[in-house]
Amino acid sequence: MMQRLLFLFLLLCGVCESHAVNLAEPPRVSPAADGTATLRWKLDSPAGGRLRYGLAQDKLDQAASDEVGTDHSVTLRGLQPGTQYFYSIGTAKYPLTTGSFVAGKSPEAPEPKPTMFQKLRRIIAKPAEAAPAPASAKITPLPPVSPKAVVRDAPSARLTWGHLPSLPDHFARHGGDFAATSQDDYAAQAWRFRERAVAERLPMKLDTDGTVRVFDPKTHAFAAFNRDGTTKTYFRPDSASYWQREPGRAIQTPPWVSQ
Amino acid sequence: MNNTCPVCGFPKLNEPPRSLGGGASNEICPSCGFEHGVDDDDKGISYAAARDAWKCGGMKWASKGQPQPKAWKPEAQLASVMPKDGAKFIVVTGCTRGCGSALAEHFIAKGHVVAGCGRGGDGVSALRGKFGPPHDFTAVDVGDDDAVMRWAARLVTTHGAPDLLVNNAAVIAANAPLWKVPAGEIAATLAVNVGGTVNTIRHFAPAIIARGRGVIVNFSSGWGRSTAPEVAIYCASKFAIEGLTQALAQELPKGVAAVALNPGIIDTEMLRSCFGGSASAYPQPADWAKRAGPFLLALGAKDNGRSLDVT
Repeated sequence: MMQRLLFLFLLLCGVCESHAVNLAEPPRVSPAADGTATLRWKLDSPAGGRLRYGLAQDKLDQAASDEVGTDHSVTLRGLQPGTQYFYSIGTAKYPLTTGSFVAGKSPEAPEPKPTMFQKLRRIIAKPAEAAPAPASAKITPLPPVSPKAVVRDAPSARLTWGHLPSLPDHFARHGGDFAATSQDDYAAQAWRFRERAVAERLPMKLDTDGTVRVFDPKTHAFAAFNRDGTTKTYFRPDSASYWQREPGRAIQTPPWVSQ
Repeated sequence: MNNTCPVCGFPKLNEPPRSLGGGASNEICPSCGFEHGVDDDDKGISYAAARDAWKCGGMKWASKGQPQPKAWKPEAQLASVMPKDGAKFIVVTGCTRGCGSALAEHFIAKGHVVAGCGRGGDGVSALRGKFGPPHDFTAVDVGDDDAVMRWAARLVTTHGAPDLLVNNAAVIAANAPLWKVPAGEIAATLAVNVGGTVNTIRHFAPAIIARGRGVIVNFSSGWGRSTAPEVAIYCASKFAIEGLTQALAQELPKGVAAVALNPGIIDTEMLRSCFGGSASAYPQPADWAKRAGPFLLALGAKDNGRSLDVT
């Protein structure tokens, strides 16, 4: 009898160990202006939730847990606005994915209206777009970002731009699309778009060579990233069917997040 | 792979201008300033127009961030991608092996510009390594209508409407009585042989018609006009090619032709799957292409609706 019970116990242990819990959906991060951030993630089977976070990818020295279940939500408090935080989330036993966010900046916050000077600069930079766009290709400008904010919340272009010698040419051609004030500003905006694409689950396509293409139907912004997450380009296409014609397999999580 | 700019011939782009599947690198050529994926896919600028604009501008080094090479010779690099006078633009499907591969090589050797597709990424990669711009090879499954739509749209933008569209891509199920052929093999045969031909016609024909000149050659077979046991689905697909070509010919405007072509019996992988070792008694694809190439190039509006054989 004891042997049978021992066998059953070992069998159950084996089943529990071999059962792999995975993410059912990519995590969602909602930073708020009051220094809090809520991270939500969904598992494909019930397990305890565990979040580790910190100021560097290799130094996730803070932790928070959630009860056993499939839908997990953890709210972090006392975060420094404008500071980038790195995190890993998963079950109580295993981290399942990693990412980062900037505290104090809500991706869902309403976009500030551009000043008259900024409007004028855009018109000068892109005279061809001064005419009203057709309804099917309506363009909503992204909010311009001050150089200070760029320095504060985005890594250097040396880290985020894939082929750095090409940055001046991309900035010269497309910086005006986003009222970028410098090459660094342009690269930083592309990096923020990448972060926003993951957080807001913007449409993404993965090409056979690992290139990830992202499009925001609301702002008509498009970017292409290398497999490692570095930027290839960032611009607003003129053609309304541009995104539809881009090749690749639709994905929800880019390779640099799932790596 | 090949990192040559198809506009100006600069041979040292950071990466190939197109992935095997046709996605743009989004690289701005430091030599001519053409942005792959933007100037073509978004602005609709052809390679020829971009080339002319660069030449008119004095062929100046375009990049602000990348220094001009010391021994840079724009005229020489440009010559490497300039089509010869009188060169035709020819699209060949299924060009990674067999008759398609032999035809593509023949046309290139004769100075024409070839854009081809095949399902095998390795085969496409090898073709790109062997034949750089102005030739253009992409991994496309012709049975995938969306993929054909994107491929055709890009080629029509960058190269213009084809002078000759050769619908060669085809597959055959393993020899078996009809009731023993797996449903998957039947579907795959019809999807490529019939669906693929229909897809390419749907996406290339509007540009050919708009220009008012061009020939569409749909590969039929001896088994598109006669039958044999154990190849019923292949026969069905090639009889369909004969029928749709006849109907298409009645729809096309003056100046444009559709032709059903029986290529004859050639020693290809496909033939070996049917004939076994005895396939070696038939001509090799390269030898066949020496006869078929000139035959195809001689086709014109006068041939619209004909069912022809390579003799």
